Amino acid sequence: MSLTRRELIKHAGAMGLFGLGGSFSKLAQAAARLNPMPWRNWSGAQSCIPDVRSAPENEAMLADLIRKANNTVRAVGSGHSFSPLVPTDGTLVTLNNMSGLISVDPQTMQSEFWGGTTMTDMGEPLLKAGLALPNMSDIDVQSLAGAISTSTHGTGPKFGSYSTTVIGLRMITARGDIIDLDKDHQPELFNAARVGLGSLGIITRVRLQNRKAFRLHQKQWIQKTEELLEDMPRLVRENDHFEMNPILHSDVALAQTQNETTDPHTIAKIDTGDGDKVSKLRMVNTYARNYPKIQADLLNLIVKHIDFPDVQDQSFRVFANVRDQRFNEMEYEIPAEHGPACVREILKTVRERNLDSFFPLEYRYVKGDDIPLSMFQGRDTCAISVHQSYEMSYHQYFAQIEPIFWKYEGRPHWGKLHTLRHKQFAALYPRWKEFLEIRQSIDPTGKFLNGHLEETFGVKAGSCRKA
Amino acid sequence: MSTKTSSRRARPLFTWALLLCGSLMLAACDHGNSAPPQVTLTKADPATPATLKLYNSTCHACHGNPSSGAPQQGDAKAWAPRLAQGKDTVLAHVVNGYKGMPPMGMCMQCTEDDFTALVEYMSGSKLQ
Repeated sequence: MSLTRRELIKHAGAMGLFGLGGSFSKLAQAAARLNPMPWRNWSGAQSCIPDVRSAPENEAMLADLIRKANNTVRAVGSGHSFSPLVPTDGTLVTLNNMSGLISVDPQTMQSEFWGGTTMTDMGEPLLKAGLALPNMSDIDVQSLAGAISTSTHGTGPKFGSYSTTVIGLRMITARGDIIDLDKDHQPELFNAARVGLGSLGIITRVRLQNRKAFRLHQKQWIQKTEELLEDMPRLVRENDHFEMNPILHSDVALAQTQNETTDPHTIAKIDTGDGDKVSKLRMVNTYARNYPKIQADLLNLIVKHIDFPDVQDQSFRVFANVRDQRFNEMEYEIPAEHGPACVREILKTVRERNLDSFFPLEYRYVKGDDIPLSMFQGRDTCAISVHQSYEMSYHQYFAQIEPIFWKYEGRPHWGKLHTLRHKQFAALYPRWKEFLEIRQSIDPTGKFLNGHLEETFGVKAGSCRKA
Repeated sequence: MSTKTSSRRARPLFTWALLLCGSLMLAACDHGNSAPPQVTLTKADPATPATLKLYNSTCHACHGNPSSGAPQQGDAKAWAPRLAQGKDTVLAHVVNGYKGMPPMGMCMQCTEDDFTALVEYMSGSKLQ
C-alpha cells in the first residue's frame, strides 16, 4: 500500500478517533515522523524506510542499540551493494562515526581501522607509515566493513579479495557482546566473519596485513577483444594486474595493465569521471542500435579515438577511479580457466539478441581463498560483470546473461544482482552448511537477517522479527 | 571490387558519424544556451560543528573534489542554478539521487534538516 503523507496523517487520525490499536500504531508512528526518510543504495534500485536509523559514536552505544533492538538490525556501509543486503524496516546502522585509522605497526606491516572507514581514507594514513593495501578495487568509496563482508576485490591472479588481508576483527553480536576474533581466538567464527554478509554481527574494527608502500604504472589501450582473449594467458602472467572492458556491440575492448614500478616520476591521474566516454557509447546506442553493423563500425571507430593517458603514482592513487555514471550491476565469479569462453558467449548473446545496453563488461582475475562464503573459496577465479545504466531496466538484460554464468558454475558476487537462492548456493559452496551452522549458533533468532538473507540462507528469522 | 565494397561501407558509416557528431554538438549547444532562472539568494547561517562533521565524513568526497564533476563547496556560481529549483527539488535530488549524485549523498544517518544544512553550507545560501 502506498500512502501520501497527507493520507497517512488522515488515516492515522481517523483510526485514533475510533481507538483502533494494532495497525494504527505503525501508521501513527510513521505520521508522527511526518516525513520518514527513506534509504536508497548508490544506484537507487534498492530502498527501504527503516523504523530506526542510527549512527552510534562508539562500540558501547552500538552494543546497547543491538541488545535492545526488537526488530531486524542491518548495517549499511557506503550503500554500494546492488543486491538487497541492506533494506530493512527495522534498525539501520551506519558506522560513519566510527571511522579512521586506530593503529599501525610499520614493523609487522599491520594496521587496525574502524569498520566505517572508507577505502578512500586508508591510502594516505598507510602511506605515512610506509605501507599500502596489497591490492584495491577500481573504486574506493566502499566502507571497510562492507567491503570485506561482501568479499569485494580488485584484479590480479596473485591477489585475493580484501577479506584475505584481514587478520583480526572486532564484532558485536546479536546479544550485544563485543568479541575479538583472529586465528587464535574463535578461529572458525573469525574465518566465517571475514565474508559474513553482515549476518553474524556488526564489524567495528578490522586488522589488516598490509605491505610496503609501492608505486604503480598504469597503461590502457584499445584492442580487438578476440586478440586480447587469444593473448590472455600471457597478459595475465606478465602483469601484476590485468583487466579488460569489452565494449558491447563492438569488436573491441579497453585493456588495462597495472605494474609495480620504482620509477619516481609521477604521472597523476586526470580523473574527471566516466561521463564523456559513457555519453559517447550512450549516443551510439540511442541512434544506431537498430542498425547493428553500423553500430559496431561506429563503436570500433569512436573508441579508438578516445585518449587513455598513462598513470604513474602511489598505488592507491592509481587503483581508484571516479565512477560518476550510475548503474546496476550483476557479477559472477567463474573458474579462471573458463573466463575467455564465458565472456565470448556473453558478447555473442548481446549481439545476436541485440540486447539494449551500452555499458562495457568488466573482466578480471582473483586468487582463490579458504573463506567459507567467499565467492573465491577453493578456486582461482575470473570475475565477469555486466552493467546497465541506472535509468534503464536491467531485468531483461541480466535475465538473458545470467544463465550463461550458471553454465560455467558461476557464483554471484554477494553485493551484486542475481536471482539465486539457498538451494543453488548449497550446491555452489562446499562449506555452505558449515557457515549456516556458525550463523545459527551466533544469531539464533536471526536479528541480523532481512528478507533477502532469509531467502539466501533458507531460514526464517525467529521471535525478534515478530515484535 | 574491393574498392567498391570499401566505398559502399564507408559511406553509411561516414553519414552516421556526421549525424552522431551533429547530435553531440546540438546537445552541447542546447546545454550552453539554457539561462539559469532568476532567484534572490539569502546568505546562509554559518555551519554548525555537527554539519561540518557530516560534510567532512560524506559530502566532501565529491563536493570537495573538483574531478568528481559535482558542484564544489563554496562555488556559489555553480550552486545558483540548483538552488533556483527550490528546496523541495534540491532535497528530492539529494534523497533519491540525481544523475551522478548518489542517493543520500553517502550520508546514511542524515535527516532532512541535516541535508538542508549541508546544502546551505556548500552553497553559502539559504535553501528556499
